[in-house]
Amino acid sequence: MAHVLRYVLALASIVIAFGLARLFLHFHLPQPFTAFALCAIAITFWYGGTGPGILAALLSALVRPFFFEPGVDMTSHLLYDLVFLIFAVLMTYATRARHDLELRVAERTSALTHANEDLRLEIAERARAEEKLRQTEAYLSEAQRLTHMGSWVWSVKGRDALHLSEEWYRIYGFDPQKGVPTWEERLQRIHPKDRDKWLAAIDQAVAEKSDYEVEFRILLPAGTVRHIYTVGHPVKNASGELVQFVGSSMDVTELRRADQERVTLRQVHADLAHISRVTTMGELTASLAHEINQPIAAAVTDASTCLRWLTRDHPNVEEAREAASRMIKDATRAAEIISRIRLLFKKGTTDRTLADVNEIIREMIILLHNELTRHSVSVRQELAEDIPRIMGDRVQLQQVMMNLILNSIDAMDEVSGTRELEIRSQRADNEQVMVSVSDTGIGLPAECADQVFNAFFTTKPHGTGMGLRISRSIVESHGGRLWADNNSPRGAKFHLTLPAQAQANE
Amino acid sequence: MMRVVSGLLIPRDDWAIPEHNCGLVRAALFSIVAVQPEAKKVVAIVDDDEFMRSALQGLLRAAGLPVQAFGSAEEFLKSGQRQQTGCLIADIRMPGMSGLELQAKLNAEHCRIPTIFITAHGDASLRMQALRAGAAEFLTKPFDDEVLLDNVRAALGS
Repeated sequence: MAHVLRYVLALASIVIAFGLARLFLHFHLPQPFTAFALCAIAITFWYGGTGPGILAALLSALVRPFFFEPGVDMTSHLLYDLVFLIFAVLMTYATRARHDLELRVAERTSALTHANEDLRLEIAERARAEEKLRQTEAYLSEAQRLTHMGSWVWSVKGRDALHLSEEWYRIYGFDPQKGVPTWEERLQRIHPKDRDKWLAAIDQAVAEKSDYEVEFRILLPAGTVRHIYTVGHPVKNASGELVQFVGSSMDVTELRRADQERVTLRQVHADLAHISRVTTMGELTASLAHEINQPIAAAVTDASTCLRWLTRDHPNVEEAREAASRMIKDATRAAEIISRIRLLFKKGTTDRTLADVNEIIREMIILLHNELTRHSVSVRQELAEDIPRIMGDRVQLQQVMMNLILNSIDAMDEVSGTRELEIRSQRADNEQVMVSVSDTGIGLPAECADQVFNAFFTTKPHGTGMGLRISRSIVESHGGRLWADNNSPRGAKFHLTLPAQAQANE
Repeated sequence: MMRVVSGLLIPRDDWAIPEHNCGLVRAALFSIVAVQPEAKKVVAIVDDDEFMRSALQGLLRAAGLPVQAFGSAEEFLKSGQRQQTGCLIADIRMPGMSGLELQAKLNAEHCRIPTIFITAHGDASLRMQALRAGAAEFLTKPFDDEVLLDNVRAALGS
C-alpha cells in the first residue's frame, strides 16, 4: 500500500469509528466510541503499519473527550489515553511480530521454492539417469544376446540365484516368467557327463574363495546340447566372509562346432594330401626300389668280400672287419631309406612338431636321387644354416618338397641343354623361412603363372594336376605362402615361406 | 709300396710316391714292367654311388685284382687312365654322363676296354642295347660276386 494511503486509512478508520459512535448516540445506545476506536486503531496498525496506527491512536485520544465525554474528569481522560497508548504499543509489537513473521514466511517460502526447484531438477536428472540406465541395460542385454553371454549372481548360502540375465535364461532354456530356477533345477540342466566337473569347480572355488572357470555342456529339455564356458568371481562382505559369486556364462557351442569343423577339415586336407602322396609314391616305385636296392646290393657285395677274406688259407680279419663295417653302413642306409619311404606312406596326422627345413630338403634329395639321375638332373643346394626351425607336419612338408622337385624334373624332361635344379633356403623377413626351388625347364604359362596352382592344371599326360594345388594348401595351412615366377634365363622358380617356430606357435 | 702278384711287380692304386723320388721310382718301375711280356692292367670302377663303389673296390681287392674307382664317367675320362684300364665296371645310370654314353665315347675313340655294366634296372632292352654296343657283360644288382669276378678275370685275360 502507498505511504500516503496508509495515513489516509488511519484518518478514514477513525472517521468511521466516530461516525458509528455518533450513530449509536443518536439511537440512545450505550456509548461505544472507545471500542470502535480500538477497532479502527487495530485495523490501521494491521493494514497501514506502525506510523498510521500511532496516528489513529492519537486521533482517537483527541476526538474522544471533545465529542463523547466532555464532562469526565482529567484522571478518566488520562486512563482512556493510557488505554489507547497501551493498545498502540501492543499493536506496534503485534505489527512488528507480524512483519517478522511475514519475512520469515517469505524466506521459508523462498527456501521451499528453491528446494522445490532443486527437487524438480533432481527428479528430472533421475529420470534422465533412469532412462540412461534403461538404455545401458538394453545395450547390455543386446550385447549379451549378440555374444551369447549371460550374467549371473548366486548366493553361497543355499546357492540360490540372486540375478540371472535374460540371455542366461535363453541359453539355459528357462522361462523367466516362471521365476528364478532353483539350485537343483540349474544342476539338472548340466549334462550328466559334465555334472561332476562343474560341481567340483564350484566346490573348489567356494572352498578356496577363488575365481573359477569351467567349460561344460548343458542338456536342454528338447535334447539339445550346448557348450558353456563359465567364469565366476567371489564376492566377500566387509568382514571378509564369502557371500556371493558373480560371473558370466558364454554359449560357445558355435565356437566348438567351428573347432570341430576345423579339425575335420584339416583331417580331410591330410587325407587328400595322403592320397596324393601315395599316388606320387606309387609313380616313383621304380626309383624308390632302386634307392633301396643300391645299398642292399652293396651289402651283398661287402658280405661276399668279408667271406673271401675269412675263408682264405690265412684269413685276413682286419680286411674282413672293414668289409663287415661297410656292410653295416649299407644296411643302415637301406633301413633309413625304407624308414623315410614308410613315413611318407603313413596316413597323415594333424600333429605338428618342430622341423628343420634343411633336413627335409636333404632327405627328399636323397630319396629322389635316382629319379634325378634318371632324368640327368644335377642338383645344387644352397642351404643357409642359420635359419630357424618351423612348427609343422614333417611328412606334409616333405610332400611339398617332393612335389616341387618332381615338378621341376618333369618341367626339364622335354628341354635340351643343362638340366639344373637349384634348391635354396634362407631366412626371410618377419621371422620367416623361405625355400626356393628353381629349374631350367619349360617355365610357367605365359598368361598367368599362378594357374599352375589350380586344381587339375597339368601339362603332363599322366599328371593329376593336384600336386601343386595340394602343396599350396599344405603350405597355407602352416601359415605360409607358395608362389611361382619365371626363372632367369629360363625355367620356373617356386618360392615358399613358412613362419618360424615362435610365430607358428601363436 | 709295392706288392708281388703272379711274379710281377705292379703299381698299387694307393701308391703315394714322394714328388722328389717320383722320377727315380717311375724309372725303376718301368724298367721292371718293361721286361715283362704283358703288364697287368687295372680294373676301373665307375659308379656314382659311394657305397657300391666301396663295396666293389673291396671285392676286387679281396680277389687280388688291381682296382681304381671313379665317382663319375667324366672323372674317369679326365684321369687319363684309359690305357691302363684292363676292365671297366660301370653303372648304367649316373648323373651327367651315363655308363652307356661312356662306352659310346670310348668306342668312338677306338678305345676298346672290356666293359661290364652293373645296374639296378635290369630290363631286357637296356641289356640288349648294352651288349649290342659291345659290353662284356650286363649284371643286375645285387649280383653274384663269382660271376662278376669271372667276367673281370676274363676281360683282363683277353
